[in-house]
Parts: sequence; C-alpha cells; structure tokens
Amino acid sequence: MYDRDVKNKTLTFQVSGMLWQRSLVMRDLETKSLWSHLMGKAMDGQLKGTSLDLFPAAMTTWGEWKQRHPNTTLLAMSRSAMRFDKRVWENASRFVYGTTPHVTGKSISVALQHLQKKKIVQTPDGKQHLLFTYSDHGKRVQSFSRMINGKALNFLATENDTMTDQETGSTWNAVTGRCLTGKLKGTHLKRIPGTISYLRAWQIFFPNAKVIP
Amino acid sequence: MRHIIRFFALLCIQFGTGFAETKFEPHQVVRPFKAITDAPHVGTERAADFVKDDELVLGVKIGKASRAYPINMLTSPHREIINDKLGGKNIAATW
Repeated sequence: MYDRDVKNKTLTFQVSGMLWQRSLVMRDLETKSLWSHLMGKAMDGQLKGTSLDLFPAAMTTWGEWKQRHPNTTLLAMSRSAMRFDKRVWENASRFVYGTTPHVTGKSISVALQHLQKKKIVQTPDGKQHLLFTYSDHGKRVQSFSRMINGKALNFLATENDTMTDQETGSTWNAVTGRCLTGKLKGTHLKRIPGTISYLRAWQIFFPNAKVIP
Repeated sequence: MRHIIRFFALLCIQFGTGFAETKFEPHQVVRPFKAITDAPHVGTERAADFVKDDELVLGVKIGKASRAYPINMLTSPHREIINDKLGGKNIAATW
C-alpha cells in the first residue's frame, strides 16, 4: 500500500505494460517515471532513485477484516479473478512475507510456512529488531518493531493470538501489537509495512537475501 | 589502470552492497492501461454483493478510515493499481 505523495506531488500510477524481472512496472502520469512495483522505487525517469513510502496493510479474509473494522469500506468493482480466497494459504510454501530495502535497509523475509508453524518469528537483525506474527484467524501476517523505549523486547507466542515479552512478562495482542496486560499495558508496537509475496518473485529481486528459516 | 579501477568498481557493486541490483531493462509486453482513479466503494451493508467472507483482501486503516481491496479485483493487467484517497492520504492500492 503505497503513499502517492512524493516530493510535494501527488502521483497517479498506471500499469505501464512493461515487465522487469518478471514483475510489473508502474508509470506515473505526472513525471512518466517508471517504478518497480515490488520495490516501490523509481528505476528510470525524473524521479529515478526515489522510493515510495508505505502504509502497513494486511492481507486477510474479508470476514476477518470487517469483524475487526466494522466501519470499513470495500472496493466495489467486478472481479477480475476468482482464485484468491483463504485456500491460497494451503500452499504456504509458495509464499514469503517480507520487507523491502526502503523500509528496513535491506530486504528481510520469512517463509510463510515457517511463520504458520511458529506463530511469531523475530530477527536479531542490526538496528531493526523485527517481529513477524501470524494469526490463524484470517491467516494474516503482520510485522512490528520490537523496540520499546530504546530496548528490544523478546517475545514468546502464547494462545489465541497473544504473546508475552520476556523482559516485563506483559501480554500483547499479536495482531494489533497492543499490550493488553502487565507493566507495558496500553503500549503499541510500531507497525512495519511488509507484504506477502511469491517466494519465486522475491528471490528474483533479492537473490542473496536469506529467507528465514 | 583504468581497467583495474573499473574491475574493482564492478567487484564492489557485485559484492560490496550484499546484493547486486540488476540493471533496469524493462520490456513492453502489453500496451499501457489507463490509470484507475475513480474506483467505487461501498460500506459493509452492500458488501455481500461484491465479496464473500473467505475471499482475500488487502486491508488498510489510515486514521479512522479503513478500506479493503479484494485481491480478486486487483489481479489482472488492466487493474493491479487503484489510485485512491483514504483518511486524507493519497494511496496506491496494489499487490
């Protein structure tokens, strides 16, 4: 989910009809720059080198989303495909959840299958200290920073989409990142924008990046 | 000497940054598609006409506003990107 506001301009994106690394290339109508869809980065044109900011978005089922957000609106177009329902996740080995270099300095990714099994995965990675969480309800993945007040917390998955941090013993909602009980009650972990991607596509863009595990 | 420098520079590009960014060489496969800027949306009361509960959506919440984009409406070369506005922000919904 990209922010279209770049350098005091609001961009309008179209499908350029081009592919690069077997992936969609977007073009903005305002500067005609060409953007990698997966990287969110202008690869050619006036804005070359610029990266789009991201909003955290969740891929989940409509049922789960509307329950969580009763006032939500819904894109109301005709379907252009039929195959994307919750059964897609039965083939979890085809997918990764990852962050792009613009967001985390380098791409960080975790195999969806591993995440489904472990429920939470943490990276010890440098400054970032990321936390990926998986919820069976809606089959959704989200990522957070583990940093609270300048210190990284370490989490253990507990039941029903909750987790506990080892430092304070507080209980957290693993989907929203909100602390439910304990010393840090009311605190929110910062959400980090990431995306579900096909493993094959991810590896073309980040051939040397290690996918966890 | 110039060759040596160039070789060294190439080595740095290849290994120094952890990964080599492949040269941007896009190729045209289909014609460009018109940008989608005025896509309609509905509230939950009319949603059943458009989407089933177990279909996958890309959901986003900005401020107090939230919107779901069914993947089955984004998938196809003539869709892919929805230029939208939500919670006072200009966004591009795409997967």
